[in-house]
Amino acid sequence: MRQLRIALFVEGSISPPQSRGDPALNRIWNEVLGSELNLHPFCSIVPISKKHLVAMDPRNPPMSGSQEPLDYLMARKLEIARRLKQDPFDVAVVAWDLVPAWNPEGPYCRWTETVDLYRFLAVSQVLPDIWKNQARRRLQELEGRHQPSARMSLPPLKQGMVLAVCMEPMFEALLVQDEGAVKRALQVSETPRGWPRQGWGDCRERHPDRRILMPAIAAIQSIKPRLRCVKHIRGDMRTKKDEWGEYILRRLFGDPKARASVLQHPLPARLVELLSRSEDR
Amino acid sequence: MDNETTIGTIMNQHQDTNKGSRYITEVIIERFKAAFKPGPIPLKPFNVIIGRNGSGKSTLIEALQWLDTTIRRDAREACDRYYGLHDLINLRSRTVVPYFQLTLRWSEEEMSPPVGYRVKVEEGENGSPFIAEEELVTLQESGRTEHTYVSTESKGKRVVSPPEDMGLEIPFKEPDMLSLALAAIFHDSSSSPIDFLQSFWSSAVFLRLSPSRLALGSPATRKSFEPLLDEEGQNLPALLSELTQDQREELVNNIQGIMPDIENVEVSKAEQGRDTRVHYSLLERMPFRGRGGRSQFPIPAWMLSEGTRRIIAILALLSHAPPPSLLCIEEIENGLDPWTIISVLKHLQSAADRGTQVVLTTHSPWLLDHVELDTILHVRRAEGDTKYEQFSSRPEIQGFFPSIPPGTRYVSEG
Repeated sequence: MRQLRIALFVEGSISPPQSRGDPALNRIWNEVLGSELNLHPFCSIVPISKKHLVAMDPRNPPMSGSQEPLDYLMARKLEIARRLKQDPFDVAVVAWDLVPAWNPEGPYCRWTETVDLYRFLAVSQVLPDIWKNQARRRLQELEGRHQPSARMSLPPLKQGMVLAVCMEPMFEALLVQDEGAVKRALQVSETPRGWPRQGWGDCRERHPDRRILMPAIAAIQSIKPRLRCVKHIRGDMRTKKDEWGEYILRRLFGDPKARASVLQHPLPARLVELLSRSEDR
Repeated sequence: MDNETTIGTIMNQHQDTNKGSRYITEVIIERFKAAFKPGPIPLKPFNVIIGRNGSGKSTLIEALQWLDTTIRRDAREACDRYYGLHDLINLRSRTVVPYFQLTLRWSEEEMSPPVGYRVKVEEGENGSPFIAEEELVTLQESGRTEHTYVSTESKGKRVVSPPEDMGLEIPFKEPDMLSLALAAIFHDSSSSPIDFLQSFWSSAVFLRLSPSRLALGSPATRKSFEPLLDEEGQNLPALLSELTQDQREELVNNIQGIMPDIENVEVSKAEQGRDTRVHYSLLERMPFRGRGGRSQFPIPAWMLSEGTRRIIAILALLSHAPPPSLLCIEEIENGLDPWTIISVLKHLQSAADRGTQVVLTTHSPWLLDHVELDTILHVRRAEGDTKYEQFSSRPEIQGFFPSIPPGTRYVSEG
């Protein structure tokens, strides 16, 4: 039987079409998380932003710029594969940040956004029926729960299935659970000037990238002589966000103490639930 | 209006200090160009100004630039781009002596008091600019004056107060010059607000980049009173010449994030008698047919795309040390592809994190979608006046679902 091809539509930097090499976003998800968590590999990784999800809601105005609704993007990728006579993807994982970069203050709800994702996929005017039917079934299962946590079963890895992974508040929360672990990851022995003192491991922190990782990276960039990682990743959390994310995550997985806490975070736990290659899924 | 009250009213409602660096937190423009009395304009370390054509987006930047040019040269030269002062004064001004007034406030480093500065410029004889009033103070939290460094004794006659142990006050009466330059002689301590203002304005940069000027070449060095980069970017080769090896490497690294095949930036000199002019080229790696392998080829500035020239100019400025204190760029998106807009934006946000105050104008909803809502200033014309509002504070904008990005809100409700 042919192995299911799984595409990942994930929150991430939009890369210019001509950029060289495997983007850091791909390395984070396939090389680091994929191999460390023993996940089914992603056949393609498509960067998205929350705009793709927001654009699916007919109550919202048409998005500015270039962002099409997520179902249009998925349908387009399927159509391109057909035209190029390539194997299309069978399953799509959609991983988005709950808190958008443009407005961290809103009252966002993981459950509502997850249900809405399936609601809009189920009535898509562009997706093939198999995708809409799977979305409809998943929506029924979600809406049939007497409370969000009353899960009956995991969504199956079947053709046409969309698996929702809402990262709360965002991917970077995975990296900032333990200040000591991040210091070890960045090979910092003492606390450098400007190092963030608050927010580590605080699940209420809505912008761990800007309020914790950004000052942390800025702080280590001021250390003389320059650290190896600073020499290697030439940029800060604004300009090399994915590269720093990849670096820290690799180091956390390589640190036995930190590895345990990373694996306990809801994001890896959710990925293992949905995509583990082991038999006990 | 009472002068002390004018500065005193621009109190610290915007104290989100940028890691201890100093930046303009508020500007009050009165009777300048499109702005009659728009009220205090709050500024942050990073700012994006949006608004329809003709709404007055540029008025704020031009007010700051007027001060910059007056400090570098004099008020006459600052008014030259408007063919004198007369048209610069807002049309609604009906005072006996036409004037405009600019009031600014900076937040200071931790534990230091905020700095307030005000200048009133009247239309003098023959329509020339006449600096009637000038005031520089440090402020207490309450808004009251803590210490006065420059004050106005009578119309046109300003007084510089030296440090307490130096005795007499110094009068200053040059009609078209600001007293800051004189004041700096007496206040050379690095903790003095005058020293800070000197430093702030000497490294402020205002850009309306011209692709044709960016390709012309320039003298090898800029003059001491000139900004790091002139408004149209003609002195870009001189700026590139100033970069150290490390700064040049950083520039190339940043360029490669946008144009991966660029290997280096070269500056070449062309001797023309006593004048040495410099030009720049990008070294691009490309397949070389015939001998196998790859090689680098210099592409001179005049052969680069317009967008590429703009990218080099902005990134070169950000690679310079010390960096600009204030960087204002009009219509930043011009000539840039969507991915480059985001890359350049990230570099500018990064610069703001490190202490450069950034003020951009844009018409691009795409760009807006990549900045935080509360960094956007919305400029509108209403009842014959220009109004500056925080975009996120307008009820129409707050009415959107929180997940709707700023560009969409602007296009839908602008």
